Amino acid sequence: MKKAQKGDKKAYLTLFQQYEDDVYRMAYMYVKNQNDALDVVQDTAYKSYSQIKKLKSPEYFKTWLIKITINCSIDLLKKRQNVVHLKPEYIEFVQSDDQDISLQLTLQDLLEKLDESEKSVVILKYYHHYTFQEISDVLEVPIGTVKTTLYRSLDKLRKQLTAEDIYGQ
Amino acid sequence: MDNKIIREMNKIEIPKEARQRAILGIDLADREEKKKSPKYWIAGLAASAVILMSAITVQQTNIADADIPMLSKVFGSKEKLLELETDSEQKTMEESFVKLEQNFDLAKQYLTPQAFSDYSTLWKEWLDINTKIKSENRNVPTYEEEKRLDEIQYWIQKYDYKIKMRIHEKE
Repeated sequence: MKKAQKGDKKAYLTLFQQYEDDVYRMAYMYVKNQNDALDVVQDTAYKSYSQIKKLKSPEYFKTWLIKITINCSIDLLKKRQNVVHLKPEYIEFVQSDDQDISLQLTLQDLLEKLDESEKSVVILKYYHHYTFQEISDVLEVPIGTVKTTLYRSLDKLRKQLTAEDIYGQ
Repeated sequence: MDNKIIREMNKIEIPKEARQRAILGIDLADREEKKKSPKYWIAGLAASAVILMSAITVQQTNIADADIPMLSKVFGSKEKLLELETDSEQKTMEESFVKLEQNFDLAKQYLTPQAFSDYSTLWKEWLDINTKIKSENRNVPTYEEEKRLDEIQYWIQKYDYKIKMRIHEKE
């Protein structure tokens, strides 16, 4: 980390690569297609390397990186004026695994049923195992808002799962 | 819920290109860092063209016969480009124009019409900023100008990468 903060490109790359998959998956959840998710990976690598010297608490590198990823994803969505097209590769991705329809629909739910803030909270909570305080820090919203958003998201997903249970059998 | 979310998220496959794109992002940032010197902008078009062309193979062209219709269209005229530098540098500049012309040709072939239009607009803005600096007899850009030039170059290189990848896919 110290080498990376002193401008050692190779050291930073090694550091970044440890979280590359997390960055890509986080980005994909927002932008919903491979090309844009790759753009977000590149932007995140660019911005994080440019700002690594300013990171005061290296132990929070991952949290900091995820925060940059979320911001880059939202910037890209804003740039596209919030119009997210259902691109062919996304359709293929969703339809690619017909062995587990229930799980497939859940991923689709995450992508389609939740808005950006709900996705952030759910992923940070259940994928990255962040505490409410950490989520509050990353998203820069009060803890109360984080909790409300999480409960609302779970409610949406539960309703969706119930509907699947009823109509899917 | 934890396991379910983890399982679902892990179903998102990581494409091979993710590694290359991370490297590209870091390379770009590193380059930006290194070029924060007063001489940076002077490298101007020539350097940008060289950077662009390093990623794309082009055929050699005789400078004397140089014809740059696409550049003339995007920038207004060849003369406007030549005004940027002194006479002693014109040969280098002309070489860069030829390369840049070929670059535009590839961009037109491999980018969507909208992307090509954005790409051209970026280059046009690049020229406008540099022409303004030159016309005011300044040696360095202002902070805002430099910031914008950096952004322009960053986006141009992203388009360049897309062109390169599409050429590679076609091959």
